[in-house]
Amino acid sequence: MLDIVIDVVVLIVSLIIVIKSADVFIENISLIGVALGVSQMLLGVTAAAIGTSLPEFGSALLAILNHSSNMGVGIVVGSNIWNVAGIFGITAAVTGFVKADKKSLNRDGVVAVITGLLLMFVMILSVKFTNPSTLSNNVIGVISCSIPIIFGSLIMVLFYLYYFKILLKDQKEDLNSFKKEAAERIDERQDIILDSSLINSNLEKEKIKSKNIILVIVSVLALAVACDLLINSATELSHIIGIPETIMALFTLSIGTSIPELVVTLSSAMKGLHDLSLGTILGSVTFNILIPIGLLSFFSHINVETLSLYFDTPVMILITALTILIFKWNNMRLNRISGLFLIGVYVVYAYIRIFFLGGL
Amino acid sequence: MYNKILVPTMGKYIYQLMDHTLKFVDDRDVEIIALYVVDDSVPFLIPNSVKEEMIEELKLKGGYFLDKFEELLDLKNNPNISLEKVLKKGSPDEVIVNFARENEVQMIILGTGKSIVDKHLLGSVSEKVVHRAPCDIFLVRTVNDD
Repeated sequence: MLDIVIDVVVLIVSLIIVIKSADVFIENISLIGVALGVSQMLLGVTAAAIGTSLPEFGSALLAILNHSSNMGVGIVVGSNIWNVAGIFGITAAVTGFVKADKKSLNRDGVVAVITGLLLMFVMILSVKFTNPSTLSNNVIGVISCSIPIIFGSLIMVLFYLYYFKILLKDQKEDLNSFKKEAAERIDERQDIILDSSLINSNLEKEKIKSKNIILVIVSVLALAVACDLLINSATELSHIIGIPETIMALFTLSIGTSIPELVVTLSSAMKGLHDLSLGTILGSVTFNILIPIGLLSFFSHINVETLSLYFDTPVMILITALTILIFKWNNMRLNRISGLFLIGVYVVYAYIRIFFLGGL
Repeated sequence: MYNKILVPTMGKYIYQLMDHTLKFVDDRDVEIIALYVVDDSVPFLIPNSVKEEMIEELKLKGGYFLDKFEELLDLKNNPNISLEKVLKKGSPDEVIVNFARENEVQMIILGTGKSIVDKHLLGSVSEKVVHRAPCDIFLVRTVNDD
């Protein structure tokens, strides 16, 4: 019993450290970027794209490197199912609705579905081209740095870079149009009395501060140590309680590492910033798959379990597509009833996965 | 009587608020202060970069809605009204109450805002202001025009 309590405490504390150190890392690496003359727009889009996804990336990386590679795919696929069904569902149920901009939904939604299909394609490649005699229980393929599997991984990384380029282009268009005008208008206008804390100080190119470099190093170390502790405590817990590691990854770790997405989505929808809600979820869904799986397969082996290929990944793709269709059917909105429906879908998925298919 | 009126707006229900404000003012000489509060409260685990982005977006929204407010007020055809537009940051109910107190506002015109379900799930700025305001309040029964 004491072992379980200790593992749960370690899991929660390491999760908080993972999330906060990812935040410190992004903030300070951006400041160093400004000092090096990297464009604010590029930094902004990067921070938005990976800011909330670093915990998933870090824990998937540590899971794969720690040879708990059954957990790697579980964390990212589980996170995505939770992000779309759970977080969108909770946000719409609590705030009443989530509104989507047609252009963003078409762009990010389609990319998210294609990402899921790409993952399936790479998984199928790994099944076709892995020698079955080298596989352990429940594992049907290994995503690794071998031809032709690596071509699939390469397509994933290149697809993400292409998506990132589109994001940058769209952001540039936004800045060139209304956002820039509006921003300049507010800071320069005399007819609106501004709170002094709201006036933008011009971010000028400064020298790199040693404090930022130290904080980047410390946050990376903290992220690595905390991710390691997180994976170890989750693995130990799964052994003590007697549940498969994949279940632990699909639910506990994926929901835990998605806390930043939950707070950002809920809080921005409450403030009426629906673009931010939508972008956070769909952006994370894309990043979570393409970068951890695509990039890590160049350096390590990622196990593909039977259920990951035949159940979890198809469910992820279907839920993402279904959510996009609900938005479209409801005049680009996800209302409270749709939110409750998505939560229901997640509960049904979890029930089937844990009690019927998961071996409990 | 009621020469200095504060109208906090968060963008929603702006048409209904404006309609009632103009009816209430009628042809009296009145100073209206339109206030948009950039709500900067965020949960502990939200990344700092996202918090800054949120504040920036809300600031732009605030500027847009204050302009919209001015446009709807139609100052050319309502010369009896003088308008001041204010954008502040903080917790909306606290900023509204403190602003009204510091500027000796005589009346706050507010929308009832949310449905009963939303009120319980999200809390209500109007309700908090009603209990702490230093002056009279005109509560407009708003319906969702989103």
